[in-house]
Amino acid sequence: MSERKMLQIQKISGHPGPVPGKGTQREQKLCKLIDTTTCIGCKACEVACVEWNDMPFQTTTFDDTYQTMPDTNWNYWNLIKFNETSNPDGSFQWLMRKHQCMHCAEPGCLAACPADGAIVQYQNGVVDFEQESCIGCQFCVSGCPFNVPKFNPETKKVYKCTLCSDRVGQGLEPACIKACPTGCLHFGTKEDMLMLAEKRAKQLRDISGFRNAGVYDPQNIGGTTVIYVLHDAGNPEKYAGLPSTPRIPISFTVWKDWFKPAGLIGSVMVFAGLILHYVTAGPRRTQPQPPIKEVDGDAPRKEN
Amino acid sequence: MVERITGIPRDQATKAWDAFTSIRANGDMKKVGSIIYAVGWTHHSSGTQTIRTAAMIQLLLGNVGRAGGGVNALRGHSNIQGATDMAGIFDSLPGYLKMPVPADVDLKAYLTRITPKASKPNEWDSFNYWSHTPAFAVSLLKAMYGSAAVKQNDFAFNWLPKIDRTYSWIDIWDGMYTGKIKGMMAFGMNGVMIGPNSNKNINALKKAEFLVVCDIYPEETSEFWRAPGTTAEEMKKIGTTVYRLPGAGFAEKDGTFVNSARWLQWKYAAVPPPGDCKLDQEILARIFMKVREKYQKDGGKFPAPILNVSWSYANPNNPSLAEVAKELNGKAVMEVTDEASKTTIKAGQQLPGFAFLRDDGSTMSGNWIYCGSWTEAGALTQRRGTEDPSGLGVYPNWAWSWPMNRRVLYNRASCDLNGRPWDMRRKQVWWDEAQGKWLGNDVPDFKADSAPKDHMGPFIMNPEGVGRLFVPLGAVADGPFPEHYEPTEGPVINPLHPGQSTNPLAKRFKTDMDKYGTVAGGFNIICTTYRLVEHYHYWTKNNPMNVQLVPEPFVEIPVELAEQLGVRGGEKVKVTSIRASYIANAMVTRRIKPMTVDGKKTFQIGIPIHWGFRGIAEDAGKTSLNLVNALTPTVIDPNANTPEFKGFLVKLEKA
Repeated sequence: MSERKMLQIQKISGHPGPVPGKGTQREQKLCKLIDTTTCIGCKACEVACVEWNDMPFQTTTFDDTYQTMPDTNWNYWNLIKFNETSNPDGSFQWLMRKHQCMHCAEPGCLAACPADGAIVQYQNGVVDFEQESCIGCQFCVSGCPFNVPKFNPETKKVYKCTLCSDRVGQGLEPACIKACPTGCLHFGTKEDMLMLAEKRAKQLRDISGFRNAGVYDPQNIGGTTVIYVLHDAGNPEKYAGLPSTPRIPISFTVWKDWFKPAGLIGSVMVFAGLILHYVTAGPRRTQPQPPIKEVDGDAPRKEN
Repeated sequence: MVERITGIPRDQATKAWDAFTSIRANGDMKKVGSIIYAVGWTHHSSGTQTIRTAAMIQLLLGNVGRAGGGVNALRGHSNIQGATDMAGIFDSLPGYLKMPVPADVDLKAYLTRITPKASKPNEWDSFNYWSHTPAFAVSLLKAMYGSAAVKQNDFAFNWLPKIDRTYSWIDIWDGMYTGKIKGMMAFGMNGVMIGPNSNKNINALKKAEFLVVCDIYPEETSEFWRAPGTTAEEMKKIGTTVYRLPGAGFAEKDGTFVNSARWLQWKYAAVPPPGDCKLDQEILARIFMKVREKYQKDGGKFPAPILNVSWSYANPNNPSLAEVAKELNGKAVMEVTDEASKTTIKAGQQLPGFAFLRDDGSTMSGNWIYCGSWTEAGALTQRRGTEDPSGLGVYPNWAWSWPMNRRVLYNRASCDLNGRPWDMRRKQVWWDEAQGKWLGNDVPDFKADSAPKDHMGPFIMNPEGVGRLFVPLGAVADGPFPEHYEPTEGPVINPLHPGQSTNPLAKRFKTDMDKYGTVAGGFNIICTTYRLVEHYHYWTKNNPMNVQLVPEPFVEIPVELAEQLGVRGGEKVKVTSIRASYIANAMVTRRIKPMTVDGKKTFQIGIPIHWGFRGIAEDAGKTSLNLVNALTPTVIDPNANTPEFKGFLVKLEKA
């Protein structure tokens, strides 16, 4: 796609040698800021995402919640997760978190991907899937600490939020940002968004009485291109299982950081990766369709 | 007492009140507080009194006339304000002129009745802008009847309809049910769904001679004759002729939307209507032309009002909305001069504002408050200037707001007695002594040259010139001060005055289908209804995207009540009021908590209104095809005639 040529590639999955053109031009790191404290759960961002990306509708069923569906899907990249929470003081909070690809600085999906060019990270922070190079192995599904990439069993490819790289490449904001009616979604440089997020968190702490308000930008994966303002940054899990410390399965980091530099190539590599993955991580999250209720807190809403 | 009535714990209520009133701590006048309400506040048998209470609080706190202040309604439609401005209600003419009544024997009698006289409290002077009512009314008559409206025939005043009774929404349906109204034209109004007491409305339509529906989807009103439960035998007996007209959707039309902040924003058609579909104005114009043709040919009881209507559009069968908008603004019929600004407008020119309107027939304007929106400079409603020189969010060049592009009404109140802004860093308007007039970042909503020492009150539309804590002249039907009343179907007897628990002036209806439930009758749960952000009234159940977001109807039930009934989320429950039953999925939630009202543990449940018997989920057999508003009672507020959708009694069981 021509517009994507305007983006400078930083990392490529499964690619031998250096990234072409690396260092020729420095791009600002982009950032999407999601202020969960001013989200009203209207789902305008969900609609904008489906419409801009021209995705087919799917049938949903009533599931005792306002949440559109249990999890994101190959044709549904952006989902507000609704959580009913009771605070220790007995007060009630209805938490809403826009769930989508976090575009990690150290992307687990990219680390896991063995297909040359199927996953690219641009210098501006966008992590994008190139379906024409995808081999459908779904390692990216296992590699993601946020359970984001979703497999389409018909096309045998994996899909996720592109941060609207086609729009961003043309200097536009992502579709969800444009649709948000409350202004809880912001888009700009990482530096600016962090500043805005910290300012908002301080306001929540100092004025609104949310003593633990803070910014979610997990440093153990190098930070994320999508960051959150949370009322309770000490407990991100209560926002539908947002991990305090997102981890890329060790099999993939081992593969990427140890074996590959050691010069092992080809099918032996993939085989070793597979074995390591199964030994260390087991068959976790390799299903193309995630289970409706998961035990790790990813399931919608209630604590019973 | 507040805790006993509302169920809000005393400390929580106090905390909220303290937070809101803290803006005036230590006499600080700089901060401003806003009250923003969704129209649910009005959906009570004493709804007007609730809004009045909000207005009184804002007056007492000095939050009126100030940027960021006021009492602000979030409306349920994009153009409700426009509908009200344009007299989409039975008791007013465009621009909030009062509707003539039979006692108004001539124009003079009418104008005398509706033109308020200044009633100046001791030290205050009063502008009493409504004293110009004759100019507004005569200009409206000139817009309606053109050259046929002359001084000699009272500007055709007697051609206007005169109302002898209340023609509110529920009265219309009641009238049809009792045989007094023979038919109905419903444009984008799904009356069966809107309710209240939908089954009464369905039965009313069965008795009608005709029903004309203009809508873009097959909907419940035009298909009332096959509402679930109607047998084939019954269908055969329904004699109502139903006409469906091929209407156009909002994105296929141009024209203006008027928002709650009174901005008239012109919009352009995105796509033309598909197939044979027609714009509303073409449908209405064609009907009018046919009716007029029939009057011309056959005469009739009273042909003059039909034959003399001014209809000077380029294509009489399809007027453009630009032509209509220009007509609403108005133009000079003869040359007029405004003495204050020494400006002369020649005959035929668009008027620059309502200061030019005259009561002698030299001007015409279809709606005086819109005068200034389409001047010789063009359509100001089409402006899209994003500059905001004052930084206050005024955006004076974005579209146009009535009156005369003022963005905040009564903005004289943003200054102290001496005309100095309460907050010098956020100046809306101010008195300039040197120039001897009011200036501002907003258009001053005041007599431009009235010096502060003259003590003119800022509330220029009230004959008193000051805000109304006490409402005189019977302007509010149920009394000069607000009072708490329980809903007509209330869970408790009003602890304030058990002898008069409910609003004595709330109107109930008397047919066999108007029944009212009581706790003693087994209806022990409070029910409320509402809309979802994911759906738009009764339309989006036809749109796959919205249906994907929220696919099926549901009833929200507190966890405690669900446990008591043994109901789990996702199971079907049956809600029954004295009027009807409703079956849908249970959504068990902690968001709605039990309340302690007058010492009694009381449960409330809530039901979104969007599903009926036609739509994607309905046609796929995923719903029980029942209507939420079949549950709601036929009882209305005595001022606005708004139904009590927000509080009524039901019982709940597993379905």
